[in-house]
This record gives sequence, structure tokens and C-alpha cells, in this order.
Amino acid sequence: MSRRARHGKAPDFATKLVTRLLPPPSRHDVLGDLEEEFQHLRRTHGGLRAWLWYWRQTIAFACKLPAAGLAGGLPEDPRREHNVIGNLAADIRFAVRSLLAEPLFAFVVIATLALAIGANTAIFSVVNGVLLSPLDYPEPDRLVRVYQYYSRSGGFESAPTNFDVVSPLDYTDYRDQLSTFQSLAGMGNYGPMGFDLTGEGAPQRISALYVTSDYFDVYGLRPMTGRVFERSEEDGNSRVVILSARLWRSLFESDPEIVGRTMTLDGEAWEIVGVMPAGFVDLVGDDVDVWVPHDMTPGGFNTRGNHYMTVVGRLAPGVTLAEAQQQLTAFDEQLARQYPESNDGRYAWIQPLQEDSVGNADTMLWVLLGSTALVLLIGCVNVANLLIGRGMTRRKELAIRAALGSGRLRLVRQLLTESLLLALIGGVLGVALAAMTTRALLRLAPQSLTLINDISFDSRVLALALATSLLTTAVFGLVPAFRSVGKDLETALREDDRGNSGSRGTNRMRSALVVGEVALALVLLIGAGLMMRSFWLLQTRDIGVDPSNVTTFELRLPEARYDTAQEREGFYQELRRRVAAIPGVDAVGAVQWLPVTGTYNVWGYATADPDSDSGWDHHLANIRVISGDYLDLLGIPLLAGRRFGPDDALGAPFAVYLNEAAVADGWGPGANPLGETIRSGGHDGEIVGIVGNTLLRQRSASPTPKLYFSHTQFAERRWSMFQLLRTSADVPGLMTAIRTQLAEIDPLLVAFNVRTLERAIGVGMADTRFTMVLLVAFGSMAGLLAASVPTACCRTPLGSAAERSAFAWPWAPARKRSSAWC
Amino acid sequence: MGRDSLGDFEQLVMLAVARLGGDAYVVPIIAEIGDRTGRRASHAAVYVALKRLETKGLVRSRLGEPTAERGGRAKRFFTLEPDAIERLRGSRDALLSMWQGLEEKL
Repeated sequence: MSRRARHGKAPDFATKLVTRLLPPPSRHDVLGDLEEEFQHLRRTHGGLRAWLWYWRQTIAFACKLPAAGLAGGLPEDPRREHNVIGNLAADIRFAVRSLLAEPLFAFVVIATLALAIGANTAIFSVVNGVLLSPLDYPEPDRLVRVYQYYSRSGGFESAPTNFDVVSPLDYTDYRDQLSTFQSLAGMGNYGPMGFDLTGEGAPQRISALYVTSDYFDVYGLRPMTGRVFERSEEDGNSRVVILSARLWRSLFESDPEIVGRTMTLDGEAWEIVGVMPAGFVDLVGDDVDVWVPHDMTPGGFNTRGNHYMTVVGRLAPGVTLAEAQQQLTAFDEQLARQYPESNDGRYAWIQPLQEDSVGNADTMLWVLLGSTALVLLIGCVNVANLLIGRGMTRRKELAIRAALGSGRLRLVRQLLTESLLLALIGGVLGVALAAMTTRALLRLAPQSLTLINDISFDSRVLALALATSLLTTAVFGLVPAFRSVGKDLETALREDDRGNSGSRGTNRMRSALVVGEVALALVLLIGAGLMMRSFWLLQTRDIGVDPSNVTTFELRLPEARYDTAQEREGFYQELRRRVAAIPGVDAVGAVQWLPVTGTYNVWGYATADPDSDSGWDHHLANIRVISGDYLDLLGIPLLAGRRFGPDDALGAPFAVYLNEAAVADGWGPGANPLGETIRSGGHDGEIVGIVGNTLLRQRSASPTPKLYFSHTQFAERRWSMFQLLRTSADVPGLMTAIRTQLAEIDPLLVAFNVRTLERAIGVGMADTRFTMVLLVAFGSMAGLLAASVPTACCRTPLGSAAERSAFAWPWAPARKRSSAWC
Repeated sequence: MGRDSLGDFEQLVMLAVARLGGDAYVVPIIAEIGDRTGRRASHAAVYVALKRLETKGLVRSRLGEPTAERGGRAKRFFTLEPDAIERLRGSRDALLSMWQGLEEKL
């Protein structure tokens, strides 16, 4: 109840409403009747009852009078200018009519705004999700990624470039002996591996990540049920597994008693010890189904020289990044004295996890955000030009309205309402466009952009979009509004039609806007052109292999059934024999890491050096373990020496190929080290062949050293091999035939990740392609907007006030109209 | 029914005006209808009905003197036109005729 009712007065707003509803002759007596009864009720039943009664009567009038055709219409109120709601409604109605009368103008402005705001908002969403939002873990600023690098100068480098992953024994020393980290965790690989899951419906391949026991502590997260791994379970024999929430829901129907149950992975029983909460995202991506403890037992693949672990850590409270780096460096020098053969010149390098997870994408994203800002700027200039042009065509109309009594403020407000209406429609469409574009962007985006943070369309992005659209048109709508209804209104009335093309100042401003807009569009178009050229050069450069007509798939041989080197090699030989017999298959081979898809298994190797104290000179190379016709299949030439042959069997002295880059690194360009011995991976091997270079990535500046071993000799390690086969053309039903052959050898094995080699290599180009596609899109958009200015915006309609503007329906009857370039 | 036929509520309003004599304005009309029929009419409903009757030429109105009780606003008094009495009688006769012989059954 209002204070008015308590003091005996009828509700003011209700009274005003009734007044507005009633025709003037009836107002006083009806209000008198209501007042009389209101006072009577107030005296007899109290103010609240009277107040409620009055409002009920008001609502009845509001319902019945219009229905009976007795509503009084707008009041003859001398203060009508101050009736904000009424005026706003009238302004909006007028604005809609005015814009409908010039649909082409409205369309161009709205489309310009929608495109500019949509592009800007979509890219800002990605930048916001990737660069600006902190990682979604507790105290994310304490999370770091740890690398190692080999210093060629022998000492600590402040800006190393040749980052390597971490050796497992160095990792355990860091973890156990340094107080720098609250916890330090390692992953047993660069990405998730897999298991064949059986016994839960149809056999299926699930992804698994091998992690050390500290893994979840680093992220500061606990399982929602169960426990994390224990240090004692890093022994290679513990069959314990932690499930992802996704697998727990889909496979075990969210069984609350899941902990303690077993599941069959690669034919072995694994005990489920925990379930991670939904939303937990690993550094390597969000598609991990299970986590299993990594085998950290020294020996085997766990040597100081074998760098394969991805290491993340949580700094101890109060330890800064610089302090942590300092402590690590001091510790590395201690390790180098202790293990000179493997650790001399080895240093650790740490960097914030967020920075690391974004990688090089930050430059790309800032470039894209800058490009969209340019598109927005071009859009704003375009809209400003359109509004100014339209303001000029309406000067006579405004002058007549002013002469008929419309106040200057009223006219400005009207023009501003039209501008804001355009901004709102453009903004809403832009937001809708952005929502759709963001989804498309995520499909197109390289995986590195979507690893850690959920890229979503949040309220801040929405607010930015709306603020941008409103500000754009408020600013650019006001300028023409004030110019149009400025001091020369009366002059405008007297102006001859032929002279009505705008003042020199206005024309100069519009010219400057167009020049600026074209310049900005050129910047974008040139950038897009250069990017396309770079992409084309990358696509067409010699990468050292011929990926055409090559299909690849993965297989993993479970330890339980393939325990010995002979069993594993025997399986691969049999598979190769069967696949090679499939019609259309020309060559079959395998490798543990596909070519031109990045670095993998970077090992130290040593060449004999009589001048050195140890007698060895240390180098780094990517190790590739190959089998079958790998070299011929990919067109990698054997430049000197011989091929692996039957004598290079298991247990025989190791034979190794070097690529030209490795020869240049160890002996100098053009040298012939055939027959010399190198030491790597715990073996001494004889160099039997020199092969052509292949790039690590499509955009690598130069080839890197590579060593090739034969799987036959190296099958003691459980390599997960990519199978490769070259076909003469498309072979229908190829994979079905391969799966049939596979099932005949081992029906429990799953061939997964089937794709062409071109596609596998293309994935590595995703970020370059992403940047190129977007820059080309923005460049085209900018070009389109810039082009629309001379053809649509600068055409200033001339003629009498009765004539329509240039933005009237194009199919309207021919009328006198001339154009002028601004 | 013809266009000028009287609605139920219009008849109630006209009868209330007739009962109130020269003192018929909206407030006592609503009270009279309420007292006799138990029907709580709104000011808007009575206003609309009186406007319709005025348009049909069945009532006429005049403004009285402003009073302080009504916030200094005058009352609008209503009286029936001769034609109205005739129409009311006609309605009543029609109803009675229709009721004749039904008292026992209904």
C-alpha cells in the first residue's frame, strides 16, 4: 500500500491511468465517483482495502473501455513532451516506419553490424576462453609444465628453443629431492594410449593415460569416489584403474558401488579404484576414458637417456617461477656431475601451464582478434557513412518538421532512436551469428585451442557485443543527427534541389571515412593474401615423404597375449604378409610414430670421439622404429649403404639408418659414416644406411636428425605401431578386408584410428589452416564492406523532398535520381 | 433479438435509475443493484452500460454541483427517458408471458 492511500488519497498512477482511458467529458464525474467510494471504503474498511479496490476498478476500466470502444485515446496533456514512455513508443513506431520505407538502407546497416559484431564476438569468445580465463583448476597460477633441453653451450640458457620431454629418472629425482614442487607428476606418453575393453558388451577401444601417482594432486582434484594411485603402484604390475565420469556413466550406468569392481582391459582384470568427477580435463585433452599408473621401475625404457615423459607440477606455496627455475638449474648441475654421460648439458625449463597449453596459439589469436577489430572498425565506418548520407537526404524533412514545431531535441532523439533500433537489431543478429560461428570455429580450431578451457559464449561476451553495437550507432548516429538538425535547418528549407548534396565539411568527412575504410580493408586483404601464400607454400613444399594413397591405422598388442619380442614380431610379420596379399595393396610397413606429425622419442645418441674424455660425442635425434617396406612405401630414398636384411635379426648386432641431417650433425655435411658405431637406447649399433631427410612438421624450418631401427631387432620394447599401406588406387572395402585378416590372427584385437596419411599430416597443419581460413573470411568481409560504400553508401540522392532516397526499393518506379561520389 | 434489445445488465441499471429517482448517479446505482441482486458491479461496467443507454436514447444525464467529498468533482445524475419506461415494461411483459404456466414446472 502506498503512502498516498494511508493518507487518504487514491493511488496516483491508477488515477492517471483512468484519466488517460476516459474521454475528456466523462473524466471528472467518473473520477469523482471513484473518489467518493474510495473514501467511503477507506473509512469503513481501511486504506489497504480501499487501495486494492481502486486498483481493481482501474483494471476493469482498462479492460472494458477499449473493448466497448469508449477509450479516450491520448490525453490532451500540455506536458506531453515529458511523457517519456509515450514519446518513446511514438519514436519507435516512427523509426520502424521510416526504416521500412528504406529497406535497402536498413538491410545494409543491419547486415554490416551483424557481420562485424558477430565476427568480433565469436573470436573474442575464443580469446576469452583460451587466453583470458584462468585454467579451471584450484590455484591455477601455481601449475607449471616442466621440459628439459640440451644446452649446446654447456651452461644454462635463458631462452632455450630445443625443448624436450623429461627423462623418467630425472623426473623421479626432481620429484623426490626438490622442495620446489608441492607435487610433480608425469604422464607416460605425449597423449592417451588405449586398451581393448572386453567383457562389458561389444569389445571396444578406450583411451587410457598412464600417469604417476601424483598426477591428480598436481591438478588439485580428487576422485568423486574412491582414491588416487599410490606411489607403490608405479611398479608396472599393479592392475588398478581410475575411471572418467563419462565411462562410469556410459558403461557402468553410474554404479555407486563401482569401486572394487574389476574390468577387463587387454584381456587382464583391472581393479577400479576411483572415478574422477565430470569436467576434469587433462592437459592432453578431454577424451581420456581411464587413468592407469605408469611403470616407473628403473631399467628397461626408464633410463636417463630416454626422454618420453610429459611432466606437470604444482609449485610449493610461496615459490615463484624464477625461484623454482633457479633451484632446478642448480639441481641439474648436480645431476650432470653425477651422470655426465646422460646429463651433461641437460637442463630443466619450466613455464606456466596456461602459457604452455596455449602454445603458439596466442599470437594467432591476437592476430585474429586484431583482424576482427579491423572488421568492426570498417563496419562502424560503413554505418557512419550510411547514417551521414541518410541524414543529408532527410535534411528537408527535418527542416519541415522543425518549422512545424518539433523541437531540436525531439528531432535528434528521433534520429537517435532510429540508429539505436538499427544497432539493437544488428546486435541481436550479430550475437546469433556469433553463437553459430563459435560452434563452427570450435570444429575448425586446432586441438591446442580446446584443451583446457571450455570455450563458451558467456555473459561478458554478450555484454561486450551489445555495448559495441550500441556505442557504435550511438556515436555515429548522433553525429549525423546533430549535423542534420544543426543551425542550417532554415537554410536547408531554402536550398535548391541541385545543391542538396551536403556541405563541404560533411563531404570531406565522408571522403575521409571511405579512404580510411578502404585502407583498413586493404590491410586485411593483404594479410589474408600473405597467409594464403604461406599456406600454399607449406602445402606444396617437399616434406620428404609421399603421403598420397597411404592409409594408416593403429594396433596395440596387449602384454598378456604378446609378452615376448618373438610373439610381437611374429604377429606383425604375419599381419604384414596377409595385408600385402589383399588385392590393390602395393606395400605394407609400420612405424611407431607417423612421419611429419611432430617430435617423438627424442633420444640421446653418441658417436665415437677419441678427443673427448669419455670417448663419445653426444647428440639428439628422433628415433623411428620401422618394419616392412616403410622407406619404399613413403618414397624415402636410401642414399647409401644397404637395407635391413634377414641377418639383422633379434639378438644380432644392431643395424641403424641415419638421415642426412643426422650425418651432418655428427660428422659434417656429405660425410660417409657407414660402418661406424653409434650408441643409443642402451645399444651399440652399426650405421648400415643413409636415408633422405623428412620434416618433423610440415612447417619445420629444416629437417632434424633421425635414427631408424628395425622393429625386428627392437621388439623387446612394446612399441605401439602405426600400420601403413600404400594402394594403387582407392580400394573398396579395404579396411573390412584388413579387419577380416586381423580377426583371423587375433579376434580380440581392434584396428583403430583409421585415416589417410595425408589427413594425419594435415591435422598438424590445423592451426595454420585455422588462421588462414579466418583471415581470408575477415579479409573478404572487409573487402565486401569496403566495396559496398561506393556502390551504396555514397550515393547521395538528390531531388525534391518528395523523392525517395537511394535506399528505397530498387524495383520502385524510375525516378529522378543522380549520384555523387563522396 | 433486434439491435436495440436490452441486455440483462442494462435493464438492472435502468431499474436502479428508476428506483433512485432524481438521485441516480453511479455510486448509488451500484449500491442499489448490489443490495437487491447481490451482484457487485464495477464502476467501469456501470459506466459502459449507462453510456450505451445514453447512445440508445434511453437515459439522459446532467452534471450536478462539485462536492469536497469527491475531491471537488461534480456528480453526473441519470434519469430515464419516456421511451425507456416503455421498453422496460415491454421486457417485463415478455418475460412474464414466457413464465406463465411455468411456475409449477420450474
